[in-house]
Amino acid sequence: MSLKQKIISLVILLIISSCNKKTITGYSSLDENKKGELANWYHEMSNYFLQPSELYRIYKDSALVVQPNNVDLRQRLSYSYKKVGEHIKAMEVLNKAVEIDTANGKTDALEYRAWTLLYYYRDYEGVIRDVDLIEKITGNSYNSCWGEPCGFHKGQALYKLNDFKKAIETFEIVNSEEEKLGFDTNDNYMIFFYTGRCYSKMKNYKRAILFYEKSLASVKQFPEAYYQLGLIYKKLNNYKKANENFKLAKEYINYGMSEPYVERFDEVFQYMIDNELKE
Amino acid sequence: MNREFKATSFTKEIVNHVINKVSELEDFPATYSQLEWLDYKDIHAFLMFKLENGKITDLCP
Repeated sequence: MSLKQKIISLVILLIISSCNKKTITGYSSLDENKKGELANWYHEMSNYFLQPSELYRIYKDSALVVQPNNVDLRQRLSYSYKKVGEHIKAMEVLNKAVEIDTANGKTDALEYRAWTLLYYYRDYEGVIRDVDLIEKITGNSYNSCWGEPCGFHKGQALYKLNDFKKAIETFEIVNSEEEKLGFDTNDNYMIFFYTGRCYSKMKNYKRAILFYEKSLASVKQFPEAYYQLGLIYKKLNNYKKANENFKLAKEYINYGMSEPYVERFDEVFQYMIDNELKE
Repeated sequence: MNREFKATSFTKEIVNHVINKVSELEDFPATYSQLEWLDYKDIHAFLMFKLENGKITDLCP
């Protein structure tokens, strides 16, 4: 063997032996801070992709492999499944997030689930169960579910289940709790509106009119309230007043309860008003 | 899916009825990207039917 060959062989041997010495460090041996950094890296990588994309989910899944108890990441992953129409998987992921969160005495994921069960899946019993659990865990009768009072969600769920008395009581609790917090509850036009809806269903038209008018005192451009007032006056055979309100509903139709993310109950549409005005 | 959000099955009649009704809708937004270079699917709008004892009782959302 020539000197050149000996040197090459030695280099190869050195490379091989150095490779063998290298130890592979798995994420499981990392401390919590390092795991957090790695999960966050995967999380940030996922955000380079569109939320409904598979790559977004793959990176979020990778982050969850490192930090399986990260509730926030798990909840965000559920949005992606929801947005591609995989609702079973979305709920499976979200339910797991809720399970982890509540086991730690936290309600963030539960608050989101209450909101999503009401506005997306119309699971009214589920909303009531979740809001009651939120109150039990926090020890407070006033909590916020994804930007709205949880009691407002529960009240709407009770209204949809035709439990009007309890719905009204629940709306009243929201208002009284907000008063304690120093809010001006005269601004709660949605609460007044759905309280009015409950009284309408109970055929207590006098109270219903009172609450629709309370909501209109807060927001003048509220076609749903005018439409409901129109229906009541029609039932009371006051066609002049009914017509006035239907006309106002039509005038303010562009200011209705239409929202990009959720579908409100009792939203009024142009054709509904036109049908009433035709009569 | 059922009330526990688990996969379930429905009769052929119900499935056909719902599909026929939905296919009559004219302004339902497309689910696939409208951009040629962007290949993805996004259901920002969906219709879900709540069924009880074989009858539609609610629409979601």
